[in-house]
Amino acid sequence: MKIKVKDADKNIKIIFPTCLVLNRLAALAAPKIFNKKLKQHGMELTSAQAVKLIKTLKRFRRRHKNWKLVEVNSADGEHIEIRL
Amino acid sequence: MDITLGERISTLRRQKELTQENLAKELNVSAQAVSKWENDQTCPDISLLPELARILGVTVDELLSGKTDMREVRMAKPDEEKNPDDLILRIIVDSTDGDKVRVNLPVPLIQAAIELGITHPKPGGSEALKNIDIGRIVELVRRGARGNLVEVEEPGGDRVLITVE
Repeated sequence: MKIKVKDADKNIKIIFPTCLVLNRLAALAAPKIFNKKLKQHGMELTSAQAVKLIKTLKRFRRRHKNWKLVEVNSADGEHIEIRL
Repeated sequence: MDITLGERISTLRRQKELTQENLAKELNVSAQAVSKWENDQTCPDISLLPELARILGVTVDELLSGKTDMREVRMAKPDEEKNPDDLILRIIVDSTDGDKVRVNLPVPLIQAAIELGITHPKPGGSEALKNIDIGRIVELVRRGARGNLVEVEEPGGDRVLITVE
């Protein structure tokens, strides 16, 4: 996974193995991390559901390496990019 | 930052399930040349562009600009039908104050999310996306709809585009 954050005075690049994020342990921890926010939108995530989402994501990533998930360019020149 | 020509060639080649060697052979160039194009170290020779575009199943204009002629929704032809697992739903949000948000979501991931009841993406905090039924969009995609499926201009001037390719 590559995370790039760039603005006028910072240029941060973080590269780490995607498997650190997309793994079973993360799937087990995901409900505890996200459910507080998700409940505000009337949703709830279980570990089993997180496992399914992570599996789908991993399968897609295998076929599309270096796939750009998100890119944000702000008007004041900040650039954020997440690649899997 | 938009997708570079190299990234576009690489994505289209993979979609056509071609290796760099296969593509190189069809164009009578070396596999290293194709690798250099895809890594944006060099660009393909102008005389190769029509043939390259034909092999990748796009027009030269689409290949160079990355903008496909998708002003209207079109139905995928059986011979150009992609594996549904390779389809990407691009959510493009351009705000009037100059912020640009691009989210590329794999269709299978959205399908899985819908099954889990997650249906309200709001990239860039756009209110326009709040009322869009992503489930319907995925249903359209499953039936073969491609192109700009949703285009919304908010009263404030923000523009939201949902494209499937």
